[in-house]
Amino acid sequence: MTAALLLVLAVADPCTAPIPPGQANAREAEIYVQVGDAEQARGNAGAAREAYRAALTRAPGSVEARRGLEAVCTPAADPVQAGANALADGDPRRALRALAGARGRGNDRAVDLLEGIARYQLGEDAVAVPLLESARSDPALAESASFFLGLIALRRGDGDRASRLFDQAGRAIGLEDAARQLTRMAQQEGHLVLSVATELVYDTNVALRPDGAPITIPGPDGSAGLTIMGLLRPWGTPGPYLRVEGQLSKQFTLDELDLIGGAAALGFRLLGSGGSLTAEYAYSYQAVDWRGYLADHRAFLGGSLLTGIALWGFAYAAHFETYRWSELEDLSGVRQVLELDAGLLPGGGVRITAGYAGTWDAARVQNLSYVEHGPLLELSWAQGPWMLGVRGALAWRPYLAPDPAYAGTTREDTRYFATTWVDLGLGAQWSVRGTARLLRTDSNIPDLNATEWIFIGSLAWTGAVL
Amino acid sequence: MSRSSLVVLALLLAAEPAVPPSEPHLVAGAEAFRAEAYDKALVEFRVAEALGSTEASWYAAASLLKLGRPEDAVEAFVLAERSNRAATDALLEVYRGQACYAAGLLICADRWFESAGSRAGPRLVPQLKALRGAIRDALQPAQLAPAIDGLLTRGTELAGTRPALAFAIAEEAEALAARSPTRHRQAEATALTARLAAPPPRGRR
Repeated sequence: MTAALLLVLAVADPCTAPIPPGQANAREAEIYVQVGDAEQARGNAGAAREAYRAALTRAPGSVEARRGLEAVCTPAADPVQAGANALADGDPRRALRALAGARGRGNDRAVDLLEGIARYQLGEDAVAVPLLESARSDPALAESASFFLGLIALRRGDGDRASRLFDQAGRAIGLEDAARQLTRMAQQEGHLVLSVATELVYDTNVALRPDGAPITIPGPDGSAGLTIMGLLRPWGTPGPYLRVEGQLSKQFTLDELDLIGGAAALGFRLLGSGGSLTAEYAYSYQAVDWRGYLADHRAFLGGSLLTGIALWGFAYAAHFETYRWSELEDLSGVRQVLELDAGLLPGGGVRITAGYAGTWDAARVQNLSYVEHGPLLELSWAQGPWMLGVRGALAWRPYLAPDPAYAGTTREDTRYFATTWVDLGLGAQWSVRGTARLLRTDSNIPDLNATEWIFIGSLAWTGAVL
Repeated sequence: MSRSSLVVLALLLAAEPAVPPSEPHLVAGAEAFRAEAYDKALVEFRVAEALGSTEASWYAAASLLKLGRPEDAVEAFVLAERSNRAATDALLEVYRGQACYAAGLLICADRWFESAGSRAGPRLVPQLKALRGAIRDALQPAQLAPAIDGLLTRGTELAGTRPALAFAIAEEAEALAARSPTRHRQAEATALTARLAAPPPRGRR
């Protein structure tokens, strides 16, 4: 049985099947050999075998045809496979050498993908992007190409783009999806990007009324808000940038908490082969109840480093704050914040981030100064135009001196934060988002225990002007 | 390949007392193509081509498409057109459009689908219309610039080794640049296309 099966396979195999004699024709045999050679050079082994066999039919003694058939039937090193093996071995330069002669064999998109990955690993993002975009046009390769395009976007610090590309990496895409994503990317990468967001907010405890406080103290309220932001990047990224923001929030009933503010920031973003670094100075000013409330000079330094599928991040900010209301002047001072985190991108549009954050607020008086620290965890998932996320954080906040307002007790708070959101992209420029947020403070001074729920619905437009 | 093409080939063979040496290979290639033995078809068409048939070049290009080598097919169609512009028909134009589409050259695909649509039968026209609609949807202005960049890079890379394929790519870049709101790199694309265009036949004024 086995012998019969082997015989059938041998007959079917053009490398081993007997070659029936035909009408002798040396001239035609020579042409078939030439065609076989050309097809072999192009990597089309099937056509080359057909040609050499046809040549041998016409000229059984043809040395060239026999040699050609043997060559094409001998398993040879596949340059695409060799390139893939080199990448798996962590040797992108060897992969590029292997792939150098791999094009023109009917598998160019796969070669684009492998070369794009190798270029990405060597930090040659500008060369990698068009190759990966080319590979992404093949539906069979789109997910892998999107994944590495996402990594490049992440390395450039363009989180939104990376997020959407990772989303793509989890599924096959069609032309419309690709077009929509490319449109979004182009808009986010303009030299002058404008963003306008409106929001409706319902806050169950807008003035942070303690648990069990008399209902005469302001409690729940709603508000409508408008935020306008302009981002100017004359030379793109990396390079300097200028950001200007304006914000207005109008309470429905508690007019004394109406807020208007503005901010301007000047920064510079650097990009390296494995990460990014951003430095920024910003000034912001807020007025509450139409009176100057808080002026803040902020120095910021943040960066990220990508290793494999892990993204390591840090962010530091020093706020030089001046409260304008006389009754709040003692809160003025320097507030420093440091956050360290690590993100994992396991695929399927999922991102998991864990970190630790600390704040040192040095107010004018010691009893209002504190050091706060605690862990945080964030989980997000993106699929198509949808994005879901949840973030939780815990912070212990011991104050630095006894507070005379609370019988000389040194205040110690434990603060809990939880946020969940759902984001829906509506075409290239519009998006809607729903957010629910919980803030809970447990203090050793029971009068300061408070719970606040905030529900936000927002509609945003973002587009490149230049 | 259509049955009518085979009939035409057979009639030609019957009507012509002195059969050109390429004709048996052209017929053998057509039969192999119809039997979906595309490797064999390609070889026979290439042999017919070597023996002087310019029609065979078109069918070889179609065979390359069927073998899953769209860029090779695009290149072969360009060369076939240069050697015998008149030898095409509606079905070959559909194949050419499919090759362009699979190679990511959407304007090229649209051009040949449009040309084929004006001559195709009632069963093919709706399919061509749907394909052209998908192409139209894909060609959003915001994505043109990166596409042009990619095509010019690729076209320049191939200009020395595969000028006919590079020409098709440069033509695509030029057509996209003309649609780009900013005429993104249009001059470069036009210059590359002109450089790669087939030289005019000698002796023609």
